[in-house]
Amino acid sequence: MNLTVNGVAFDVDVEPSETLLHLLRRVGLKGVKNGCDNGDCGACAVLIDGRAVTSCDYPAPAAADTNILTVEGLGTEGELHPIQAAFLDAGGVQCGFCTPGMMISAYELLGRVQEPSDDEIREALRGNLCRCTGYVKPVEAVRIAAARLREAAGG
Amino acid sequence: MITEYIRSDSVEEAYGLLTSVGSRARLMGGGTDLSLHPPADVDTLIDLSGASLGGITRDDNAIAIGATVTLTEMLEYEPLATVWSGVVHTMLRRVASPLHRNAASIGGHLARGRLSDVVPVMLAIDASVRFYDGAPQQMPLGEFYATRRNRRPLVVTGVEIPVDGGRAAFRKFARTTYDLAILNVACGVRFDGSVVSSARIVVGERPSLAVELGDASGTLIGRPFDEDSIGQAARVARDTVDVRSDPRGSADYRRHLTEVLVRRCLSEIAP
Repeated sequence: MNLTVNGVAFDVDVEPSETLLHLLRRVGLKGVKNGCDNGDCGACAVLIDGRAVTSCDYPAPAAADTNILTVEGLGTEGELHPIQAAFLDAGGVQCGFCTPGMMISAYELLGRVQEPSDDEIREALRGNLCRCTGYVKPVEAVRIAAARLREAAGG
Repeated sequence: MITEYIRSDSVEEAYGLLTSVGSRARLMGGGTDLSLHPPADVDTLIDLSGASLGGITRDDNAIAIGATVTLTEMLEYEPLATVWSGVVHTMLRRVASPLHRNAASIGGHLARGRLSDVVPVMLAIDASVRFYDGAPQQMPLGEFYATRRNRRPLVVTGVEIPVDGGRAAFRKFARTTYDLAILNVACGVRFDGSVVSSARIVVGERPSLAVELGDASGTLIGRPFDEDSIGQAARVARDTVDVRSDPRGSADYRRHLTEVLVRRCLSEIAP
């Protein structure tokens, strides 16, 4: 089946029972984390055609002909995406395991809402469990990223 | 173990596949449940995403939602916030997280029935289900569940919500903000002046499929809607609800929750 991941076209064989999480990790995208493999923790979040979903409960065959973004597609080598930079600057990363999923949720939010309230940020991150940070710093990171993106858009 | 994954281009084709493969096949909406928990005797998934069951429409009588519409798409559809006290949106904001609502479909919820905050609300607001069993059909959702045993295979194609001025409320009690409910309650009430003309008190996650508590609903009809009638309906709900114990909560606890949540729902509806 064909799918596009981070702008790269893939033509892969897929098992009917495989989930998108395992397919993406099989083709080398280990930034998609296998946290619970049960739809609970959000560490495996990816963007499918612009919508953030947990990839562990998404059937891989259902992703045929879609456009997928994983954390690997956010920044480039040497140049972090503003969301990634903000997570570093705000201390929104501790062990880092939940971070890729959080960034994907944040990316979807900031694509829709330029100036999100803290409630909107918390709602967007609601499906991303974090055992280290207590969520305060990631929320701050998204707030900072939103401000920087607005600044960049405004010139 | 799933060994066949078929994308169906139309409802008719999906129905044909379902009847030819038989009980080894399941229809799939968003797949959030079936990908994690495929029934042991199922080896074929029929993906409905290409079967033209998306989209939400509104006319003077109803809002019609296609089976593959996601819960997020329902949240983004503003007219749903203007009917039945906006209860559909209130409820959807409490279902799992955006990561699941972006994939999970309304049709999948209705077809599965259990483990759902969506189903009790749809029952309380008199939703009807559209399905295809060789011909297009429609029936009240409550009747659909009451007659589900021994039914021929069918494809759920959508749901229709009447837009006639009823008021509604939803409450759920769960261990964490996006856990499945230990118990949930939805109430829908219509008024004729200050008197209740129709009422549905629905309890879900008992933990069985959501049901309307007819005796409790009946106590409200034809009376003014006040603290007395609300208290009586909540007590009758507690005394008549059929609950079980499971790892989420005991039957006694669920009975207690029933009274409290029914009272809170009805109090919110009170004019």
